[in-house]
Amino acid sequence: MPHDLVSLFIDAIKIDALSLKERPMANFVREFLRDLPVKMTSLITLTESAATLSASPTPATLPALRSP
Amino acid sequence: MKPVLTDERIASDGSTALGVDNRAGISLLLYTLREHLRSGAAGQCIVVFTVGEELGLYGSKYLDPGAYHMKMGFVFDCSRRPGTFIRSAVGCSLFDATFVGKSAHAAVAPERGVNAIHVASKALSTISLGRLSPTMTCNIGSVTGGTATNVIPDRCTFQGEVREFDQRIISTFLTGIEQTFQKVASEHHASLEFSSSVDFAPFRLGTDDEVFRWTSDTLREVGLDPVPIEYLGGSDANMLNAKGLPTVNLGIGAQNPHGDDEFILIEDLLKSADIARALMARSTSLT
Repeated sequence: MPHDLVSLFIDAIKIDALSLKERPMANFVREFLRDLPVKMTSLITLTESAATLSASPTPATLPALRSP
Repeated sequence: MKPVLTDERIASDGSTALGVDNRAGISLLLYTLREHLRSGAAGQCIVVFTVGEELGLYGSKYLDPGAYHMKMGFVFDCSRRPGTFIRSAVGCSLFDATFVGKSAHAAVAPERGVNAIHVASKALSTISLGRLSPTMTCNIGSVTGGTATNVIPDRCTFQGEVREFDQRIISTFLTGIEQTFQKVASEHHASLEFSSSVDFAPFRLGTDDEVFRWTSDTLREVGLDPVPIEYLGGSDANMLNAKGLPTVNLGIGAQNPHGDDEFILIEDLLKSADIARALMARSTSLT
């Protein structure tokens, strides 16, 4: 029986998500935290987020994955 | 994705990357947060999951630490093993250099053209790339230009980056590149369009910084020897330090990131969770 953290990690690596295509991972995080007494919030407003994304390259023109 | 689990490590089957970078950080923070809350401990911590880190630190770029009265930050995203932490990292500036020549038919009227790719290659040969010093690197990562073999290309663009621990040195170096490229362009009857921007700023934390002390004390508390390092890669810690939030990047042992041989030792995953748990517990002392 693997450690709970190991099991959680294996669940996480099975999620199909890449940088800037992270909604599945965000859903994974939300689902995990759903029944816990935490306050979940987006630290940036939706308007700001939308502006940011619209100003960013579209997924089709994004540069290849790079590690900063 | 086919993870291979052994007694000591979690790896991919070798056909793809594993995604340890940074599902390991996400998992250990979620796990630790749940354990922390179940223990009934009250803390003063905010757990942030940032987006777009790989492509441009987008999440941390639009985070406002001041709005949430954050005092210090701990990023769980360094591929080194637990105990190591990044206390200083390079900054990175990006540049675009477009050489503008003159198009013409390559066979009928080559005398009327100025080959921008040729000029650009001359310019490229005048600068050094790679590790320019122990603390500085420069790279040209893409070259674009031209449309067809029978057309003398009128535009050729380089995209590159410069990294250093001192932003002033980066700026001086970029000015030098621009002047050198300008000179080559002029000598070959071409012109230059040059632009640069800061991708992320460098940072350096001192041993007397509170976050440095917190990190060292916490690592000792979980049985590790603190190993502060300087690093030539960027992370959300660069962006958060630039926003005034003193932040270290902690080693979690996600080794060979992005490679098909990516793996993490189970002991490192568990030890990283110990670090997170200790930090959350210490946060109860913050007022």
